Amino acid sequence: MLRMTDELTGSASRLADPGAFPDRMSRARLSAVVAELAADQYSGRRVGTPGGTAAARWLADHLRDLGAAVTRDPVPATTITHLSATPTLVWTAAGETTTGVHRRDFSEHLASADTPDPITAEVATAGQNTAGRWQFVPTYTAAIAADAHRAGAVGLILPRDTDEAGWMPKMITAPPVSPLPVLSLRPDIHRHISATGSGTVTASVPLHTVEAVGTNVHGTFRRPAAGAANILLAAHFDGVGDDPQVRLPAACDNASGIAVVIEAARLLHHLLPPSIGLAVALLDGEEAGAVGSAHHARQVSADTVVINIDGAASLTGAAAVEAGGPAHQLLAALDQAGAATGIPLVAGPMPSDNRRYAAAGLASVGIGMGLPGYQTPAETVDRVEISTLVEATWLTVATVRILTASIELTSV
Amino acid sequence: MSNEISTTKQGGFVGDPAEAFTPPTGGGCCGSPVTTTTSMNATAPCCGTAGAAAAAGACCESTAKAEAVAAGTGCCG
Repeated sequence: MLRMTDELTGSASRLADPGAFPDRMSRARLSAVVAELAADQYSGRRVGTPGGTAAARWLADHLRDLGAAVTRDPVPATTITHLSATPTLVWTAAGETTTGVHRRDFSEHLASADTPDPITAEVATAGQNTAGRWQFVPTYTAAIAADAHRAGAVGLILPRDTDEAGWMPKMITAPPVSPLPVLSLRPDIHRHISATGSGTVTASVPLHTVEAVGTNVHGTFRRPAAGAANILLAAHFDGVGDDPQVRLPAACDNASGIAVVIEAARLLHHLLPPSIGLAVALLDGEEAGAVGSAHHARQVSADTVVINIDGAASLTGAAAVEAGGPAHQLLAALDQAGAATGIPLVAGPMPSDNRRYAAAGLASVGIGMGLPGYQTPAETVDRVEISTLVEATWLTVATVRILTASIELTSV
Repeated sequence: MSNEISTTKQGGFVGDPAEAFTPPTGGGCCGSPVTTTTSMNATAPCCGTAGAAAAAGACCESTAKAEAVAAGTGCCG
């Protein structure tokens, strides 16, 4: 069992006591950061867009105002998908014509060929001749697409589930491009048309890939003394970006995590012993394969301890924690902080930037406390619970205080 | 705001904190356990199976993702 059982245990409650913090945790500051990043002018903060760049600029200014030494570091280009217009889908089956609603009834498939002009053709279901038709298939693979292309199909349509609110979440990572347009359709509609075995589809998929260059924002509050601990608080600020006509504010994923990291750093700056290093990494490109943290992890000194927050919007049950690298002492501190703050923790997958730091050999944990509306238009500011922001900040501050106290004890 | 934070919940890890090095995969995202040497595989599915992710046209199948998100475990980028 990995538990702290030494003399530190008794002082964890004191170290986690917000009443002893010289600065007060600010609900107003937490919610203001979320509201700012979710605002219209940042357009959902997709990597490499004017909105993403503007968000990085605002974050840099904000960190500077809090007393950090700030640098902005370009992230090498990565390939992502881009919708130049809203995809369209109209189908006629059993004599009835229906216009689909993007992200409700259908969505672009990330492998789709760029097809800005609508194509009208009859449908082909299992066993039917596919030449000149939209082919209804149960799944997508590159081999299926190649076969359909050779057989003369005009495009592929496959089923895709929605989330609990009926949305098809947006993704932007770019797989190899299919030779055909590809759309995903709500499973019940897909089944209905497949069962009918006839009808027509008119669809466009104005999707193409673009090269995107992001910007990590780094704020150093204090540098570590020789041999002293160095704490890095990380969160990604990028989102998947707005659709051409619909906002995706990305308030939960991950404006909430950014707000927590900034507020925790502001508090810790006045709480930690002077020898301890403290920095924040506000990362770009997580939604594009965690390219920002992959770039940054190579630059971080080996003795750095990383806490990454991805989602702090709605804690139901326990916070998910994934650890990597030599994080035993960090985990023990987190456990004690959870006990002292009353925040339950559970081992759970956190496939976020923490994995990049772990892969670089750094002690790291990823913490997740909820992402309602994940990567859909429903991810709005009102979905971010202030109580969760407060709990995540409290947990982070307490963990760092307990960890640094335990390191000091160990080194005595 | 305030420092008036209070809680009556039972906090800390449910079980051994070391399980966080190899978090359970059932119902979560990015199924493969993470070790200290595992690097992130951008092509791996975030939730469920690779086939289901491919069928969904996304990095993870949405039902598995919804379960993960509902459980507060987050999801992939």
